Amino acid sequence: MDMNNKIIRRSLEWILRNSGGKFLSQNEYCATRDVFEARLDTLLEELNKINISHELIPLIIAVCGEIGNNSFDHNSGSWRDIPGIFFSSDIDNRIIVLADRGQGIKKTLEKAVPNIKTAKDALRIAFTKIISGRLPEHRGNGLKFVTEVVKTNNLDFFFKSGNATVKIKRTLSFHSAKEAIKGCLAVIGF
Amino acid sequence: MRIQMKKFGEMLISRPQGKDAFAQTKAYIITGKEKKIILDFKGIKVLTPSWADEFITKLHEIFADKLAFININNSSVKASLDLLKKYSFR
Repeated sequence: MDMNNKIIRRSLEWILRNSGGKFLSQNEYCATRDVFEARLDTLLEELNKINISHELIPLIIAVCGEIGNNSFDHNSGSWRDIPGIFFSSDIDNRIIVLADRGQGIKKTLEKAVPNIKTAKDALRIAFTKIISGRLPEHRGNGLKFVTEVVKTNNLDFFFKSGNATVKIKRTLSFHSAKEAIKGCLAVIGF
Repeated sequence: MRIQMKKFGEMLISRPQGKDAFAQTKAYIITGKEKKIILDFKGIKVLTPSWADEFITKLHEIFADKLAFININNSSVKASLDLLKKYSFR
């Protein structure tokens, strides 16, 4: 997965800006869930036209759906400045990117698991435990779904929040990053 | 009783949608006394575990072993149901 891909760089530019408004095009920005779900429908149609296993397509869309769901579920009323997410795909290079200017994983999970020390610990909990940042609502299985789908179907996955990253191929690996981001960034390679 | 899941849409994605679907089902479709509930996934293009958790897990809390699933060939339907069976059904 080429992390210098133009849509990855674009999403990072947006996340790192002081202000998120008036930067993204309509094709990149989903202000609401409805827009996001319509764009998922469009992506499904685009994937159906290319040379890719038809078994894989619903799983890719479901993974995108879960990542986007998490952004909207956990940041409603708490976005850093503008609501919504960055959602874009580079079909030729088989990359999909989602990003938000929300609270980030650590802050979200601290509501359910106090005293999380680092962003890396937060990612480890988010991707390996069934714990929700919105207790007592029963949640917390979305990122496990993402993990299992990526591992089982030989996809690539990269996720960053704060100064921590997780990469999933056949296994999960957690890392600390030099540069921190506020919010979340997810990259799916297929 | 058979419930055609496609009545809720072909792309079953978000939690609020799943919650709404369950509320509709509970209010207008089921009584809670059915001997069997069959969820028919024919025509579903995508199912996420978030939607499924708000709808299917809650149905499972009422019906448990009386809940059955058919037409689950879609890979996202299979994967989401497998996850619920593993982590959500009690």
